[in-house]
Amino acid sequence: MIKGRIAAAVLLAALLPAGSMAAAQNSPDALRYPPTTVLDLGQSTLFMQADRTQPLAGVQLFVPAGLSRETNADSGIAALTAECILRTPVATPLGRMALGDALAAEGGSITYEVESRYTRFYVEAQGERLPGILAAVGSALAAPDFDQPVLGAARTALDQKIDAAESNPVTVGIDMFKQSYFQGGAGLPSLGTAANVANLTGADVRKFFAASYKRSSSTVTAVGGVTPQIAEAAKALVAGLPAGAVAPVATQIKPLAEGTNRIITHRDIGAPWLVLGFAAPSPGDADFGPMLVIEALLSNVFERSSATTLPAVERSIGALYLYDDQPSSMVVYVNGTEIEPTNALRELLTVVDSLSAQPLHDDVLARYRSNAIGTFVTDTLSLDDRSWAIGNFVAQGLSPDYSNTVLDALAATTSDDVQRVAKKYLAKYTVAIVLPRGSSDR
Amino acid sequence: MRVLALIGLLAIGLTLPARAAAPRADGLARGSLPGGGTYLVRSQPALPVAAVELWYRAPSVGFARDPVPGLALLSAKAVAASVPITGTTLSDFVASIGGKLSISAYPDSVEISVLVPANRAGDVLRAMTSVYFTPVLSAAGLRIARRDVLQETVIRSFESEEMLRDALLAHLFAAGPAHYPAYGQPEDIRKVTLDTVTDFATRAFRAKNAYLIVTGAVPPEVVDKAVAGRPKAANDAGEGSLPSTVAAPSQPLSVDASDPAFGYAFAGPPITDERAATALDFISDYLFRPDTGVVARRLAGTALDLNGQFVTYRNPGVMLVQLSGTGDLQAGRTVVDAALAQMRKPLDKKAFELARDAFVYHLLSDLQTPLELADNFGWYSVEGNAEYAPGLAGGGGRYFAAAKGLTAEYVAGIAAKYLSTPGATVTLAVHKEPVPQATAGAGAQ
Repeated sequence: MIKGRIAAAVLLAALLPAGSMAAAQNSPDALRYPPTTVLDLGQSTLFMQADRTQPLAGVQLFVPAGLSRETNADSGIAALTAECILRTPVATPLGRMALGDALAAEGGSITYEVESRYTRFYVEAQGERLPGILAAVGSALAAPDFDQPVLGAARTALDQKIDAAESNPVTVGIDMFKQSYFQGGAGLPSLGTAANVANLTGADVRKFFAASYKRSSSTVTAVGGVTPQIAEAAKALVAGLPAGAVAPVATQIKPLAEGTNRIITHRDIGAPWLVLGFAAPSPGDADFGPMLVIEALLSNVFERSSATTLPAVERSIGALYLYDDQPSSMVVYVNGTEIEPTNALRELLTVVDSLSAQPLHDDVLARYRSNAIGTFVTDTLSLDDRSWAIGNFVAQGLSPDYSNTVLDALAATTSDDVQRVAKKYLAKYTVAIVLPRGSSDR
Repeated sequence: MRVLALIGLLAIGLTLPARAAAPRADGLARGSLPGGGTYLVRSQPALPVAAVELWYRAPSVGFARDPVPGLALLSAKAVAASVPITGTTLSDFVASIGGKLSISAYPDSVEISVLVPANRAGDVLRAMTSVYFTPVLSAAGLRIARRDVLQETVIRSFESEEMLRDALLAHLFAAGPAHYPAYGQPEDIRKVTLDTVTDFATRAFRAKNAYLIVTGAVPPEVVDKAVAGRPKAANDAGEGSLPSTVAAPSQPLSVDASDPAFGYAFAGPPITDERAATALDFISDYLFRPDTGVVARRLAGTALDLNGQFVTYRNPGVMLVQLSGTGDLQAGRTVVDAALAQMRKPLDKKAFELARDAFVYHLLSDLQTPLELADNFGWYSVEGNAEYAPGLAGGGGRYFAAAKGLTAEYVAGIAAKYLSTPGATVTLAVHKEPVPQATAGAGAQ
């Protein structure tokens, strides 16, 4: 049954007309993101997309404290630093309390993520409250607490997040691939490992903060109900960071080798998962649009007919384009709870070969181009995601309005583009295999 | 035969002119659909996406005397997977334009939701109304839908939280749709016939019974794309749901399960008692919201999962409090009981005001995308009080007026009234095989 399903998918990828009544009617030029306003903050820059219909506003601060500044010895230090900042006591009407608690008590929130090039803090509240809340964040950044008991609480919280990430086979597989693909810190797990985090001291964290939280290398984005007062508060927020800049870290990769490269690990999961990692063009590259189409094709071509769009947990095969990293990469996962992994891998590679061997039929191209456009615009909806998207492109040296360039690139993608990009990027890969504990490696 | 008749009706429906959309008013347009039913459009220009949703008020177990748990969900999915007169199933059409289609069922309602690039919203709206205002069902469509629903029931069977929720509602309600799981059980789903599904879909899914919700970067005129649907048949039995009867409070129930869990269900106010319903929303936010709720914070790091939520059903609303996981459930229950007892006394004035501000923020934060807004508008419409929907007027409107008007004393009174005696108390207990007892001399080799 599964075999038959995959065979049908292969036929589709082998360029039979899809019979889509809709794709050919698409007019992506009608899709546009609103223009971004750029404001000079002195030693940093604010990128804003105001939306008057939105009662909330979100501000995202990107500091150059990413994984690329970590080493094997201090893996996890970027996340531990951010956790400490969220727990740094700040003054509130109720007395001094941890930054995260203070913001929650005042009707706001703060979260953080560690990426290869930056750590980003997302702060959200109703527009009129956000300036005061940003002031509290600024005070924590100006005088972060890296001593006990803050450090201990931060370590405990981080350990819980690491545990959660370790139980997700896709996250584990992506981390394995990245470790094999990137040189240096960019290949380390974004939260670190519990063993490493246990050994990090307050002095380590203090040193990392001093070296990487620099005002002139930071960027701020704001979306939603942004007001002049929020823009002013963003300026004060950045002013809380230590002065100066840091030199960017150029991430190097270990070129993927010819042949089958396998990495195997075991976790507490119920079925095996495979994660195939490929090199991929970064945003700004002319091949970025075609690669998004390839991602859409590999995410959907294997799916069975279903009444509704299948959630990730029910998909047998899916693709994730990791374009927040530079250089970028793409992973394709095989869900062993839904499909027999060895057969799936074989059929997946058949599709990959066919993409490189011949151009897609026009109907197939139109379908997956539409699919790529749909995925691109529907995956970035929340204020957090929208402010991330702007900042992520800016951090890669691109226009804050690069999303519109992507829509244009997708609309212009041809079958020849897809074939050329498939040939260039899909020939070499690494397979990360995540097996249930106790199962054989074979 | 039935399919041919429906195709004929579809052709009639497609020829009826659509009514012009209402004029724009502060980004919100409302009115009646050409074939009956209502629409609501909220224009949000900031993102090039749109959410298009159809909601129907219909019992999850069907209209017949003998309930068929899961029938509404199965029928809605079968319609999406059946080939209509246009030649392409709704699910294929949405996939081909890069959209995301989801279908959900609740005790008294069904939701069909599509998120698409904004420039395809009109096409999707036309396709959805064509398919759901004149449903055409096929054996192939039912086969796909049945497989999907069975898979979902299997996944749910591994989630103790879902099992507990079903058990709590089954215990709280003596009869009616809310007594049964909206997803049904595999044995229920397997025996549903095409005739049963078609009968249900024909009665439940039609323009007159529909609430059409559109949000995102679209003009109000997008609703002109809606088809009229089939005219009302002479023997039309009408639509709507069936009443769910609250059971008398009873003894705590223990149910065998593969994973342990514990929960309470309290019958709350109807959706028309807006101030009381808002107060219960506040309590669920203050106590149970992940990360920030008082109980959630006390249980952090205990290996217990907490889920507390007030569900604003038409009548009555239901407060659910659920604990699951590998931690100490009894200790967790003690924390919940203490927190509920604390809520029956007024909070300190300053603490209450901060908590109320945080509650308003949390609501707004949960309503920031077109899909979240559409889900919300659809829910409150189908439950009979669209004007009360949070977000209808941004951070204003009736809901937020009620929220900002809450007082510590009023909230304490509502907690005392509705949260003192649970209508249902359920424990999921892991059944342990009896350990064989050693007999005298055993092992003495």
